Amino acid sequence: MCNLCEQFGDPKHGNGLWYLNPTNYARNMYKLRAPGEGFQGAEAGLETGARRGPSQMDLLNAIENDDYTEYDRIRKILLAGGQGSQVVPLKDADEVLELCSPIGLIACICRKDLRAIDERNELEYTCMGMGVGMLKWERWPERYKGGVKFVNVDEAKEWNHEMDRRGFVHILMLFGAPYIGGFCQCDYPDCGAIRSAVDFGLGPIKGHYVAMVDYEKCNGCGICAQRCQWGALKFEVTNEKANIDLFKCYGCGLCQTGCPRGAINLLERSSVPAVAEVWR
Amino acid sequence: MTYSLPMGRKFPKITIDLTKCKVPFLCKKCLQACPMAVFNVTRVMSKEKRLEEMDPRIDGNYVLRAPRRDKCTVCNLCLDVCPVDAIKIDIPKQGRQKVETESVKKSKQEKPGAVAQDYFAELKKQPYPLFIAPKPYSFDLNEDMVQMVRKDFDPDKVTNALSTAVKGKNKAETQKAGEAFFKDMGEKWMRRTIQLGDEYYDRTIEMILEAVDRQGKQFLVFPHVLQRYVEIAYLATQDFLKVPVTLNNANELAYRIPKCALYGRIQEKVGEDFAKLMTCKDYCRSALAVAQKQINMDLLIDQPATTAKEGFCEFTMHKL
Repeated sequence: MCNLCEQFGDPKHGNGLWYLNPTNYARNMYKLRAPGEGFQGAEAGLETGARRGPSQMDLLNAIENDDYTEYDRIRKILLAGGQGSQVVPLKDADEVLELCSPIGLIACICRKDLRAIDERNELEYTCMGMGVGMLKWERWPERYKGGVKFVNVDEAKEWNHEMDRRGFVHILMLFGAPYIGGFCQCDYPDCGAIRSAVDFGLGPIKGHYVAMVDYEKCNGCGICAQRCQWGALKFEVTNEKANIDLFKCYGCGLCQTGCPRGAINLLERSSVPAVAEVWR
Repeated sequence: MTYSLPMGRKFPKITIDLTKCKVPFLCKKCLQACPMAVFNVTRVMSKEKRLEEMDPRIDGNYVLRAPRRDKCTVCNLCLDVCPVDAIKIDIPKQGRQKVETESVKKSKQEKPGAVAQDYFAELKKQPYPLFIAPKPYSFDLNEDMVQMVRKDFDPDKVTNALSTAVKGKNKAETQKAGEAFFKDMGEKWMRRTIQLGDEYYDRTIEMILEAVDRQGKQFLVFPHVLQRYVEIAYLATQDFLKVPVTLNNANELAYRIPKCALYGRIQEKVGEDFAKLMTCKDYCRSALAVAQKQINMDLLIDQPATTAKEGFCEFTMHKL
């Protein structure tokens, strides 16, 4: 059980997985404001809410200054703050999309910032915004550029499968716990979440699964090695088969969905003792 | 797995001359070229302007930064592509050795003539589709509308009418009279809500009605149009500022009413015993039935919890 499941899971739904608890997707569409009350928190603007406290750039400065106390302090803050997202494999993603409404495709924020792709590019609309927040996305015109393409559940699932085929990792994003507001399609190095995870060990927490190779079925074709965004899966030259470092595996299931021979199994994280409680 | 970078390691210093790199959003050549996505282009944001759109074609609205310089390998591909020679990379002393390779030397050279021509003038002429709001609008409910519903269906007013309806009747008769009163009143309450709700649109409901799927159907009617009616009805008559919605997805809508204001008034004015009969559930049930009729959809409406028993009312609507 991860932290999020302990806090927001419901044993009645999806074995207690927090993201299969439908209550976490529900929210009121409107609220009345007390006289004089303005926008607060996330409502005040995504960037203003997210940029409080130290950043990863401060972490780099601490490393350069050889200041371990400062490094440790910033890292702890960032670790605590980054509890807001989790890697979800495709089979769970299908169930997640049943639980929320509306679902809108939006232009990826990370890729717009880090790569020269913006909302004018058709391929940019990879990420999904979920829940009633999407109805008010227009409030932030910078983020709304290109608009929201609302899709129904079947279209959303189809899109998710297409993204999986292209090789994107699915990461659920919390917008003020326990409300789940987004479903990102990520890859390295364009995505902020995966970068934090791979470069600094921060960012999203690992999924509830780990991938294991069935060595009898694996024929060493190497397709899975192209799909791992975490640096966990390698092609082992000696025995000509795939090799997965379970300590690095985030359980995204991309290697499993990509394997033409069904040689990779997604196991429950809790069934592998050494990594059962490894969430970062 | 605990991950740590070697302490004391020095990363390349990347300085960007913002007087040369004026409108990075339109260029982004370095972002495309960098193998490790070291650069990013961000909006310069002040707290006051966070809800405004900024034109990326105007100088200084966007800046180029290098937040991921730990991944910079000084391959100098960015220097090669930069048309205005704005990037300088300085590789620091690593341990005892100072690296002076060809690529480092190159990074220190000025590109002759690069700044002389105004590179950005051409880029700025290209059209960039700004998002411009169709009209000034609000995402919140219209305050006047909420007040209008409140005027007619204030819990005090409803309870006063109720006490006249059940006055001087014995127990069995009171229950019957209460149920009939609430059924009628609930219908009126929701009809008024629907009438006013459809009259006073806001941007949120417009977004729902504009969303059309590939078959040309509006597919967000359930739960969101229904949810809006429900929220208006309760926000106008209860004391809370937001309705505790516990489920909303393509199949289900559920909400709770904690500390029902109407139930409290009934306790006070008509009596504890009468309140315990929960005749008031017909008020909410008949209102929901009217809303269901309005959106013309087959729903299974249920009430798994009541204020008399659990301390809060819960209503669930399941799409058949």
